[in-house]
Amino acid sequence: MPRKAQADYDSPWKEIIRQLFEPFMLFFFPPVHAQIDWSKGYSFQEKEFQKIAYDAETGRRTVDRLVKVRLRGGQRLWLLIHIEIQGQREAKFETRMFIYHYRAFDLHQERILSLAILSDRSPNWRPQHYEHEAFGCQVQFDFPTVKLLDYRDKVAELEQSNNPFALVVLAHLRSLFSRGQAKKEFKKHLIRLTWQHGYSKKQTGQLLRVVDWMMILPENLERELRRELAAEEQQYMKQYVTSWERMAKEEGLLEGQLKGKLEALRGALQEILQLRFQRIPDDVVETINHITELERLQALHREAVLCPKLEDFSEQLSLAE
Amino acid sequence: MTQSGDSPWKEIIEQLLEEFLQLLFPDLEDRIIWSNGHKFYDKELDKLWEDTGCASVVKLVKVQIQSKDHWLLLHFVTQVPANELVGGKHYYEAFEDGVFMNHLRVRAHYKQPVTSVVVLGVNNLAWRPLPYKEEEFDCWLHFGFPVRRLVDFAYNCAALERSRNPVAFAILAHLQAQETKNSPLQRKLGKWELWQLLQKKNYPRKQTELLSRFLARTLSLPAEYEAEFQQVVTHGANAKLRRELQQRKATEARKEQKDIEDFRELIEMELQIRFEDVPATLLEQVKHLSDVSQLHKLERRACKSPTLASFVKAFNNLSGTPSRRTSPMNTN
Repeated sequence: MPRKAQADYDSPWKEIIRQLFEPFMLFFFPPVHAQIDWSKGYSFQEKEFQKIAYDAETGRRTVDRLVKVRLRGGQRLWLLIHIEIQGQREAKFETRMFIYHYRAFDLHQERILSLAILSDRSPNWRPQHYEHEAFGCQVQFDFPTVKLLDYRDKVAELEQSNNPFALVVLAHLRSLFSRGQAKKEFKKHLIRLTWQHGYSKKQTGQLLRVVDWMMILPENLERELRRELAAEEQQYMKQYVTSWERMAKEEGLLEGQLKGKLEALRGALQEILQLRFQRIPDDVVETINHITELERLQALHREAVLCPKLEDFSEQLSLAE
Repeated sequence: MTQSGDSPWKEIIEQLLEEFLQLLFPDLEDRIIWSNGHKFYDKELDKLWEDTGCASVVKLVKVQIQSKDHWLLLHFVTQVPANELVGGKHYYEAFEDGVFMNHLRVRAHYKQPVTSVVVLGVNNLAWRPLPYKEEEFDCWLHFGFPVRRLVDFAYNCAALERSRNPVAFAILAHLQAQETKNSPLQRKLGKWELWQLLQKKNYPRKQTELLSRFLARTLSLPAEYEAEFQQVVTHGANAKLRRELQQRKATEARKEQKDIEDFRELIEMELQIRFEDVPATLLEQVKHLSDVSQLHKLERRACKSPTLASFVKAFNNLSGTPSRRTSPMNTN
């Protein structure tokens, strides 16, 4: 099995926390979630975080997020979320938690709540405390930690849960402990679960991408999986198309007219991509063929003309999915 | 804000760091390998704490402990601004924040652990800084630092006078300055007594010079009183001064008697408030104590002892061995 398939944990977490922040907090830190006033919105502080971490002594082993929220009482609170993602214990994790915490405090003079998620496979590594004492001068720092490994005993509950992070955790646990055929079978299971849960099309897309990222399979197994799921996928996609068509009818649009327009746009889009980048990956064609919104296709059309690289276009395509 | 950049203590700390720590933080001093040298770093780093304004003198010094560098951050508070706000809080409330912030900044700057210590030179028996605390949900931060208050030496001046440590002399001058803030006559007399004490101590010339400077700056006098002081320094005590000193002695004795009575009353009150059924014999014993420094210590015990039994233990330890004065000083 090619070792290249070392899962790239970094990106899925990063993206999914940003896109599904509220369910994230609800799933992992319910008491905090309950105190946040979600109607006031929240914002991710990329630049501010960079300042905090400007000279981090450790390499990039974690995903760290700084998020500004409002509590129900109106107070501002900054969440410093650390996700230890490499599945390896980091020796100075506690120290770094402490350093980031106080640096965030010093730079922004805001209330800071530091949280940590540990995704390693060692049941005994549970950093939640930093302490330093010398001659009566003493620093103690406690932070709440969620250990993904602890969900091992709750698989049944996770499968029932409506929170997308239940799926994320399932995918993570399985990718820690299985490989080969077993992993493929479980990935298939998770993809089906995702379809069955009845999330919106956008959420489903996001989750499938997370599952995909977390459970990277060797190429041959991945192709096998696609083949096995092809029919079901069609079935699943159809639901959306049918419901959309029904809505279109209700709005008085002529089905044929719209279909014709969509066809034309899809064709044009592919032609542009073909002309500019020669080869178009199959999944891009696939995705384009499943788009049933005129506006979306028009936007992609513009993107196809303007994007510097095919990767940019693909990213755009997957982002809004 | 309180950065009175020219506090006379600055020079004392710079020149007599070892003696200073020996007197105030003996455990820490004990571990420092002085022969490996030490270095003050505050000049370049003043900007690190210019906005926290929590202490009159902030000194960062690198010392050697167990052949390793150790950063020591020393805060010395000689005055508290009357009505100034620091970051929206009153000075006392903001103090711990400031000490913590300075600690963190030095730690961040050197990426090495730092030991922060605080010395309070202000004349306020009620002020005892608390640990810095922060709590958000289950995220909890606690920062404690050792605090020494010069005012706690006020009832143990005899031990300071006996001490060979030159910093003990500086503390005496400091306390004298606070006590005589509103009385130039008393200050003149106190200054004269201290001057005599300094002559008797026979410290090395450099130290004597340093302490003379400290004395002159700490116990500054209005021109006429200063002239009188210089007069007796040059020509010895005259009849007028002797008369004044005699009166002072009587006043001091009265004051000490009053302190003794105050402490006895305080101890009795605190014990009765905090514990049930305080034995009458214990209260009677307290009434017979007449050593003001012991009473001062017991008064603090009465506030802090978790149980009556632990107070009684402390009481027996203190009063049972009156000959052995437990002094914080290292009398060489």
